[in-house]
Amino acid sequence: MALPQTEMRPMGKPILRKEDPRLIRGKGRYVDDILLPNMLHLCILRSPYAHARIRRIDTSKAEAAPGVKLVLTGEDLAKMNLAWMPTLAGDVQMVLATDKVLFQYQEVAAVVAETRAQAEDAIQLIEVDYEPLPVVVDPFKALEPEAPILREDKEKKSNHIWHWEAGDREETEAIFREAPIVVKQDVRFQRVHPSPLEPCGCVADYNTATGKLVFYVTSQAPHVHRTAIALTTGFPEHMIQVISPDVGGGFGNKVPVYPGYVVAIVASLKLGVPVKWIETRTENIASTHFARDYYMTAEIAATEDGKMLALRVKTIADHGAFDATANPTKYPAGLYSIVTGSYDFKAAFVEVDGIHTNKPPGGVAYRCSFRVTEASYLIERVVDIVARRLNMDPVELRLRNFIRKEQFPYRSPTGWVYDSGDYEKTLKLALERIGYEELRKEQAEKRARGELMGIGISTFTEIVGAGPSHSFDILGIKMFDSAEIRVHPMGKVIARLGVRHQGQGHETTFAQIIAEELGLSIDDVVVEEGDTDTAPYGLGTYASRSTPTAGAAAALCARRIRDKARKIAAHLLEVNEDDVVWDGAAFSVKGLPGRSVTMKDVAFAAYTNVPDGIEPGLEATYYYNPPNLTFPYGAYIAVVDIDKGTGAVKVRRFLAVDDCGNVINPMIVEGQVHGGLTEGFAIAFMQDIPYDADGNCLAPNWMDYLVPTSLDTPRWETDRTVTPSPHHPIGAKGVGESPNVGSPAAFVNAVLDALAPFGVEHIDMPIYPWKVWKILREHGITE
Amino acid sequence: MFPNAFKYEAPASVDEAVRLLAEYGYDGKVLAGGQSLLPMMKLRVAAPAVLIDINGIDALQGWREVDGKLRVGAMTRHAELEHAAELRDKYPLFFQTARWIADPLIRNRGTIGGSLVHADPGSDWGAAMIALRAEVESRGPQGSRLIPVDEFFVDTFATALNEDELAVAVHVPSPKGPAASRYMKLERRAGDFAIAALAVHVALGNDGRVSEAGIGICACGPIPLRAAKAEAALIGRPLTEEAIVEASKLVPEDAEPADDLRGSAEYKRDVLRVFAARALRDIAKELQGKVGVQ
Amino acid sequence: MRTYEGEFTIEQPREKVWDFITDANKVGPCVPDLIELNVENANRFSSRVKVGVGPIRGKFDLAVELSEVEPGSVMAMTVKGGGMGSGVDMKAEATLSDVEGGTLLKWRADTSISGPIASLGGRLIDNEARKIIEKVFANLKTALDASA
Repeated sequence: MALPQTEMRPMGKPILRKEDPRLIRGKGRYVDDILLPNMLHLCILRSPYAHARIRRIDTSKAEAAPGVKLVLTGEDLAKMNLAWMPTLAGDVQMVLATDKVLFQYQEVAAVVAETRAQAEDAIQLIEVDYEPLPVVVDPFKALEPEAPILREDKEKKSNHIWHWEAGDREETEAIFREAPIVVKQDVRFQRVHPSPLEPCGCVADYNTATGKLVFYVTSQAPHVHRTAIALTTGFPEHMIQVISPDVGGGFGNKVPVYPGYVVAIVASLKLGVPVKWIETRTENIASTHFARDYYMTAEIAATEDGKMLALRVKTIADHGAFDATANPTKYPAGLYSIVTGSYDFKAAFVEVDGIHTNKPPGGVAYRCSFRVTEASYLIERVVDIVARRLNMDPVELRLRNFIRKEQFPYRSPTGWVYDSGDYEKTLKLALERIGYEELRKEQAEKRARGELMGIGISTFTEIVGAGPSHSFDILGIKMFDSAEIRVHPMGKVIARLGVRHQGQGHETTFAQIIAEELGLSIDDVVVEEGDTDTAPYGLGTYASRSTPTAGAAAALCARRIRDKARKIAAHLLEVNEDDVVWDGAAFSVKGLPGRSVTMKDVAFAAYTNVPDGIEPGLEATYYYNPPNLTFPYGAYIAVVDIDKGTGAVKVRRFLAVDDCGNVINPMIVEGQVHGGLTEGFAIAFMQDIPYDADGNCLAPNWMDYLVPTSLDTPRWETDRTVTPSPHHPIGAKGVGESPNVGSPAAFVNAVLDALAPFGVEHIDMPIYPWKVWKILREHGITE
Repeated sequence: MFPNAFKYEAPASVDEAVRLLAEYGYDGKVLAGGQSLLPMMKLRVAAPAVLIDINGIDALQGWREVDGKLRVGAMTRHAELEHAAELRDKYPLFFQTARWIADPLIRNRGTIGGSLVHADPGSDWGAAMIALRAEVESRGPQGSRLIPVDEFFVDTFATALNEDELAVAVHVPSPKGPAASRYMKLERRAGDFAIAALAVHVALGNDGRVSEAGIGICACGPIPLRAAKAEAALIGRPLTEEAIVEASKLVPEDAEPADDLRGSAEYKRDVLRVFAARALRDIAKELQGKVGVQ
Repeated sequence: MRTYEGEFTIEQPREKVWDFITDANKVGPCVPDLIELNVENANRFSSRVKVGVGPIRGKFDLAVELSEVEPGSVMAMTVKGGGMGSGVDMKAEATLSDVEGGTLLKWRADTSISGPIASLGGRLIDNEARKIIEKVFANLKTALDASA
């Protein structure tokens, strides 16, 4: 039962999350909670080798093992034309390997048994004869002429996948030729993983009598999954129902379609009973989609007095064995060209090359809009280096180069039109709140005593809310989103949306939007998402797109209802529609505020007392095609102290001032910011998925892939400015990802600020203590 | 995440456990707190045919002082040693170490005996027991014996216990004279195995000079190691800054760290030096004024 | 890939050492913790071994092939196999030379371990792999000494 909340006019209020009483008390229903009669369990055999020819697979012992109902190999799937499946990036990916494997932990065979334990026992009985092949883990080595070609199935005999560019090469080159100052830096964004608490999994339930396939899956994009399944298997779309129940975190990891899903569906189709597949932690980290893994080089041309003129970026993107990023079709490197950030460059040129290696596929937007974290980290890092070279305070350099508020809407040199912003105001608030001047004084005193303290700044700009139909699609489907609202006779509302939350609080925030627009309490509104049989079509929740797209759809859908309600109100008030005014709570007669009817009165009338010429009922659907993206931004400041003896970095303070436009629920925004900062902290100081030369994943569990605990996590301070989006119906911009996008640079800049006396300009993440110690040691600093 | 099938035995006495160990030999594996063993079984890198669960043996629980020693039952949980108020003054290294082990959930189940017998070089208890010059009491078909901790650790995951022997307790000598200790640990994340860690125990004689020095090194070699040179350098000297600096420089000489993802061998050696100096300085401060002469 | 190396002297003439280390019948039993040994011919044998490093216990199947690189002085040994869901591939070379009082055997082994054991054992595997390989050559020396 939800907590009683009777807030009217709920917009902008810190209303408690409607979903929490259920989730906190263990009453959520996740995919692994689904138990169906006669359900069987699937387990997948994975390759120990990163690159090997499969000479032979012998499944006979597994087939004879207790409880085993089905054993599947790539050859079995090939007979159904399902050994390979399309990826969201236009490549294909092996479902179960046929002739060779391309990464460690790749799917090789599957067993379906009566119990999970039996399935796990049986996969150990499958004998696979591998012939190891030379392994390529380094994308630069993958480009060398003698490198083995990993994708023999592709026409192009190269490990190079694609080249992509944005901006104006010639104009940029011309500025660089004349520029008095050029700063160049290589910056690595290491391979990380979204690592949601709940790993991936599904239950495929094919009913032999009805011919319907119900597919329960922990998904951020159930409609996209249904379409992908229909396209891959040829199964009729209307006979597939995808249900994404409560989702235990996604962060981008649950956008793609994974081989296990296809295998579970095939098994259910073959056996005619439900088949469950739930990943282990190791399978999640070592085979599902990673994030980042960019090798970036940035150059900035500037004048001696600190005006930044042009930006040139070259990037090698490690995509692993298959190009399976979940990016809009036209953007293989996502929205990476937002790399000019918050600064008014005259010109910019960005190029990215995608490369195959013997690693798992991916490149998902891990709590960021597509490749925006990479871009934001790069520019915020390199801007600091420019400041260092010019011997200028990084705040001063930023203020001198910000896009000014009167320049909005601002067209960036790579073609984006920033909707709104006031970067100077936000940074100045941050400086005041953290006490920047005092901190610099303290730092100077500490430096004089030989102590190491650093202050790091990041003033990032995000680009979210994909996106306008003219440019954005996935699998050809335009990236609109949708809402459907039904107002029932008692004035109670069910709203269904095409997105699917995984902790963002849609059940609360979208109820706030709808209740506000309809003059109801949020207790009158139930928000449902995740069932493709009931929800209108939508592209899902990722890339901070829910509020910019579905949130807009919800507001406009509610307004559509209000338009009809006005007609019914006119009938009830016995006046002309033009004489009816809406005051946010009720319809009244113009000039006679005493004569009014509420939305509840209207709702009842819509079913009981409908005027002639008006369709009964009170419901509407809205498909929202955003006119532009939204551009949330922020000013983050980190303060760190370094232990000279161990190299350990302590984050003493961290302030995030965000501007996400109008705020629907400040408590949820703050929670989102806390979560994203914690992830950004983990990326800056802890997380990496290294591979050895044989392609073994060296962090396939939470013992070595480090997720911070409450003991590690700094105390977060937050604040905000509000610059509403001019084109969004309620002026909101989206916020879930800003803290992950903006914070890594603040942490790293702070560490490098502490190390500034030694002339060190850059360290790659994660900043482990030994890296700092090594630098200190090189400069003769020791305890 | 299911282990391979195994047979399960739950002896109610030490004698019965020892009999089962002899009966099953290589196939038998003792289940203590299970915080290392069970994950390994679920990952199927360990697949013992028989689990001999000793959680039901009451005689393995708790601690008492006998003959100038503290005897701690092998099945005493980390959390009990972390919170035992009566051990804090005389045997502070127990709580100082226990609070660094993994996380509270693991500390509630994991046991001191299980940790020592598992013989992971990253075991925090290993270093602490070296610093305290503990002995492991074992029981086998031939009876009991006390194994000095320096002989107990043979290699990674390998101890001096015979296949049919059960570790039943650890014995720690009571300090003679004022004593203090520190456990220093550097982790990549709270609850992680150490990058490097150091257990330091010092007692002073009536003359104010160091009469007992124990320094155990964690995660810097195939087994927990003793910083014997540093210990020797401290004995018979007052804890002056000079003595501290000198001794702490000797600690890395007895370490055998490897280069790995946690850092280079050189780095870990230096962290040990820094930790030794910090621990000894803290200890010197704590012991100041506790003996007549300083 | 990890490389391990070592050397030892055997108080026997080089020819005798050479005959020993190129004979699968002789080398086979030197594999530690053997459960099963199957010598297919003078150059090839397969074996099942017990791996027991503390709680990590399982069986590995290894196929070993011996070959001459330089007759009388350099021999190569390839080991391929696996167990517990992991794979092991090793290329080893032994070089013999005459020294006073016998023969010097220098060995070098390039080892690749793939799969969960390599992924999980990060902190420990290097020490363990080195010990097992050293044991192979130590057993070889013991057997050679005994055959004197």
